[in-house]
Amino acid sequence: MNIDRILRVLNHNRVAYLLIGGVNFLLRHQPVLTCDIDVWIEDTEKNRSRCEKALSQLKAEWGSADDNWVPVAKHGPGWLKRQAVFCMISPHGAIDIFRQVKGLKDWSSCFDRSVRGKTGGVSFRGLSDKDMLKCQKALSVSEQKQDRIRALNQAIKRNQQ
Amino acid sequence: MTISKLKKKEELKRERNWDPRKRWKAIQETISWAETLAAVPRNSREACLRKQARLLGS
Repeated sequence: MNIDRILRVLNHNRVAYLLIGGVNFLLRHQPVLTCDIDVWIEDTEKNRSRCEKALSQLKAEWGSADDNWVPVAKHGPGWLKRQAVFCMISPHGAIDIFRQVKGLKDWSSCFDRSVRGKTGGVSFRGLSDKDMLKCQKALSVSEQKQDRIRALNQAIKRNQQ
Repeated sequence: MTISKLKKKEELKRERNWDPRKRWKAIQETISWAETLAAVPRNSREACLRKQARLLGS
């Protein structure tokens, strides 16, 4: 998975996004095995359009069903408005695009609290530890990742000291 | 449909449409990328002690 490339293309297209999920956790805390990059985008028409352009450039593929799984460039403009979450593949790795995130209400507030990071010379903004913890706690117990919850609690405690 | 249910459905659909060899390659590349990150010290003294403490239940 070429995470640096994916982030670079999102930045180049001025997509307003927050890195969430395993890659965000991995970059800031400890290694976890993840095979996709999770991105929460600001849910405005303009930003979705920028994101659609970036995903086309990344040669991402998605379909609303198995029989129409095609390069996203073949979907008409506005396709990102169809649903809240998209799981797609690209030659650079699997990409999950979220328009909504369980446990978090307002993208802008989360962006204000987000943490600046850099990987391979590429800048990004990642969800804060407190917001990552909120996401985990919003999941059902069977979906929660206890290792992450433990590490996040420790990091938050460390930062408060 | 809830976000969790939609996410699960989307993941399964992607899995069906993802060539297993390409998927495996993506996982290998991610591991290699993580290894290059100085900020993710998997093999550091601190990481080992943290893991040990967790395993010992302290």
